[in-house]
Amino acid sequence: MKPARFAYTAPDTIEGTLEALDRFGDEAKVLSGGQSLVPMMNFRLARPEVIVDIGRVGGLEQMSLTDGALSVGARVVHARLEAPAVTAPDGRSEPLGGVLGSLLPSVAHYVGHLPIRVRGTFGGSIAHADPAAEWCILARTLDAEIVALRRGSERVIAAADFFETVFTTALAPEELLAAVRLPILGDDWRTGFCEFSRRAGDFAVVAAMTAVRLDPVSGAIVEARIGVGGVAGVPARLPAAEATLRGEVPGADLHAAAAAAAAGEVDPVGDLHGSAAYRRDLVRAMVARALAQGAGESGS
Amino acid sequence: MGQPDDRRGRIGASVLRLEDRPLLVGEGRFLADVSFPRELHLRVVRSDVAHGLLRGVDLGEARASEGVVAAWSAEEVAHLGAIEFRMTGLDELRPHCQRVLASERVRYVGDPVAVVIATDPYLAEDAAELAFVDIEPLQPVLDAASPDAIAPLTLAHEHGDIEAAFAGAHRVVELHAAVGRHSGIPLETRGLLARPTDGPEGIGVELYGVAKVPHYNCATIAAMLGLKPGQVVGREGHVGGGFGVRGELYPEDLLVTHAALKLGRPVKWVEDRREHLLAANHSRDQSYRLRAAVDAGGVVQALEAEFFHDQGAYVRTHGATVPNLSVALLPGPYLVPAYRVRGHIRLTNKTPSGTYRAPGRFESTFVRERLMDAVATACGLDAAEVRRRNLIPPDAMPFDRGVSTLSTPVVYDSGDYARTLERLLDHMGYESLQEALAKRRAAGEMAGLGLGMFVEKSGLGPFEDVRVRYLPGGGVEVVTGAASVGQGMETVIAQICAEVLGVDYGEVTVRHGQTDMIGRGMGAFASRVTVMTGVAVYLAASELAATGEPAEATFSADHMTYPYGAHAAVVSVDPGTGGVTVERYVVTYDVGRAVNPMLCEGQIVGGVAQGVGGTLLELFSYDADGQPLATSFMDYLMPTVAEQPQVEVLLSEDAPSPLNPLGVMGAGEGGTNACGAAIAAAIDDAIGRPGAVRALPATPELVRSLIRA
Repeated sequence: MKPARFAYTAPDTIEGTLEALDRFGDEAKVLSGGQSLVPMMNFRLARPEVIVDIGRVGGLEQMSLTDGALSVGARVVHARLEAPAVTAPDGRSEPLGGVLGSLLPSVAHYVGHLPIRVRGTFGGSIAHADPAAEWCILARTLDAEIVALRRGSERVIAAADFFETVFTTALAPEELLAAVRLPILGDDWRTGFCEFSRRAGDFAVVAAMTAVRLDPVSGAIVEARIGVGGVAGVPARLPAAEATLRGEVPGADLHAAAAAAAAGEVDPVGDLHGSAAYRRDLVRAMVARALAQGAGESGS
Repeated sequence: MGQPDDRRGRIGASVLRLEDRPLLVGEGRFLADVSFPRELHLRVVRSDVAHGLLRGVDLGEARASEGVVAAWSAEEVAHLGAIEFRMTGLDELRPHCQRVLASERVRYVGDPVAVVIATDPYLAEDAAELAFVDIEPLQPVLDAASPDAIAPLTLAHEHGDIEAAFAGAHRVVELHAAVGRHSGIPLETRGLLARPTDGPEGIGVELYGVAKVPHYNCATIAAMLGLKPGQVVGREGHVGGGFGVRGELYPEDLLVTHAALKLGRPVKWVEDRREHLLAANHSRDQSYRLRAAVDAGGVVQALEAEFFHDQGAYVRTHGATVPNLSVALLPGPYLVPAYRVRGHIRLTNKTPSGTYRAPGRFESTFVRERLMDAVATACGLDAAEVRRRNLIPPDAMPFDRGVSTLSTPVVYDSGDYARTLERLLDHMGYESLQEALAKRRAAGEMAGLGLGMFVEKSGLGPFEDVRVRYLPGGGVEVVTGAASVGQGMETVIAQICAEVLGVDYGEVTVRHGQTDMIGRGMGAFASRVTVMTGVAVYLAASELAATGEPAEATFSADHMTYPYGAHAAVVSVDPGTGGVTVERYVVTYDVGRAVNPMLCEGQIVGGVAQGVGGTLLELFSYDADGQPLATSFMDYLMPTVAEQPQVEVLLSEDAPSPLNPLGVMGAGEGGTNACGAAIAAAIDDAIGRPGAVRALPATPELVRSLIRA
């Protein structure tokens, strides 16, 4: 469990990072918090020729509100999402309020253990693209945008297009994930996040996130999003289950129906920690609980 | 019992550990911390096939790799032979001992086939990847009950009139139950550093990283390498946990020592975690069929048992120890006048197995207590009541079980089993607790209570020696051939010495695990150190107190002591996921006399953590090709602090052992013993399905399937 030989560079700037990525291409791997990459290198499952450590790069640790989105810098560590604060235009830091302000801490505490949360980064998790990772599920469910830089250009990738398969994303080898933009949710949104893992801090066997927007007059659901992890190579959205919610008023029966649709819609692959049938069963439980959580009920 | 504020550290005082200061201030010296100039690093090349014919090992590229000093396959070390049994060696098992490197055939994923020795551990690992191992795969055997499994031996025992008991039984209760494969996972992995020395007897070697049984290992290594016993010197340092696994003699120990002598340089090997999960002893993995002949009052008149013990690919140093203990201790604390057992030792293409904390007891207690619960259900009795009716009464002590284990007859030396059960029930408020749980269930929750009772064994002989003297500069020195695996033995031995000499325990220095300081020593296993070394130091210190002169004493014992106790678990089950939360855990344990009650409690709490792991989480599973699936901590699930319940320990001293002048029994294994039994029963109770949990680990998927069934 010693990594294979690699070269190491630690640029100080984003420009320097982009130059290194441009130069080394697919021989290079970006090191952020190292909480996934380093163990994979120790197992020799990952054998990058060159490590580009972005730990010294400034400008990647900001959280700010811009253009209706919360921009989370690539190197924001998980622990900061437990009590999210944004940098105001005058430079002061203030707590993030609103729906996202309560949602992010409720998700962050599921990420690993404290030592992982103080080193591992939000951007690193998204770029690593474990299909059961909490932030990947959240990004997919909220239709986040991923900001990717390369020498001389920038592009924005929709989460739906970003996650391609297990540990594989739309990022080109020359690109650096610089930030993730999460859409600000208005007060008419109700969200829930529920996860089952074998032990506290493990990757989810199955996790589900739900977000529904309610008509302020009728209380009916006008927009519905359900994302699940642990059932496919990427965090999955469940359109059929989402459709059962639209136009309806939240309630236990509706949640049960949506959860049943969700279980029917996934096609999981079993592994050591849960067979396909068990994972399907868990999708039902996790979706129902996330919806109940969003509606302020205790789930079952 | 003593008060925790008795700072002089006499027997019964819960004083702090003498061991802790160096560990807390960063002066711990574990194997990986030891280095010598010019040391080399050894890397083992292991089979990645579960079963196959070894057609060839080409080390050409590996030898040419940067920093490589030597690379060997079986041919180069053929003279080293196979590793003999340390315990419970039986002739039928001898053909299945493991050689230091596999030749002709590989038998499990992880089987060592070659070694590479290089100037740096990274370079050694690079070079090991270049070894070309040509294996023609064969079908692996992964089920011990399969007719294809090699069947060297069936252990059998019978006493009492089985046939009459079953013929006259009011009812017969049957049970199939199994415990999965898991093992001890010490924080410090295995490792060894061998350093050639030039002594009066010629070239010898010092071994750092020896643990548990340093004298035995050094003597055995010397014999296998053609050296005199004194030429191999064990230098035990800090040891980060033993649990039965760490410190046994393994192929790597021979390879490292041989390499150091052959190359004339220090050679170091530090096992990595993946290797540990692949190559260190596994344990448990027994499946049982039980039948009980029960009378109208719910009393078991006869027990018939058959079990399969999955030994894995080879028989290692423990020989038949684990199934032998299962055979002997299956009847536990109950009278069971007639008993017949057949234990089949079977070889499969999995990692070889050995002892792990409460070996043969975690397994046999699980199935016996499941059987007692089944008897209770069949007879319409409460779980506590059926146990009351079957317990061996105190006036039957000493109780001859009529069976032997580890070459000693099982004679329970003392015990008041009913009293320990009532203590547990009183502490929990048994009846009101049951009512409260019934209310929770009526309100839709799944919550339940389970019990498990057991008899442990401890204080295995045959001897331990101790030397005690006053040091010229003040203080007292104790030298013992026993070992420390982190359990607190220095403190306990110092307390016994302090009691006799009337000094503070902090004035006593305990030296252990240094094979050139004392001629012989049995080591640290089988919960034996407090009994064997403890009594030896009591005897030696008594002589020192009388004469003022340096004193030596030997304590010999041909019988073990048998501590005992009971566990109770309260669990809740998540109906939607099958996830189990242990809400409350209580252990009563009678150790005869507690030298340091705090350390006894620590042993029990730590033991429960490992028992919870084996009950709910830990499993070495394999795919159909014999590939191990749990080869990292992502997949081999150790309980964390979040999964571990607060353990309430009711330590008692009802029944001091009559077999030694201190009355002590060992405290090491009672915390693990009945976890599977108690938690399984609690899950049954929670989900309202008596007898449902018959296999461990009780994973959420398994529990969820029981709920849905």
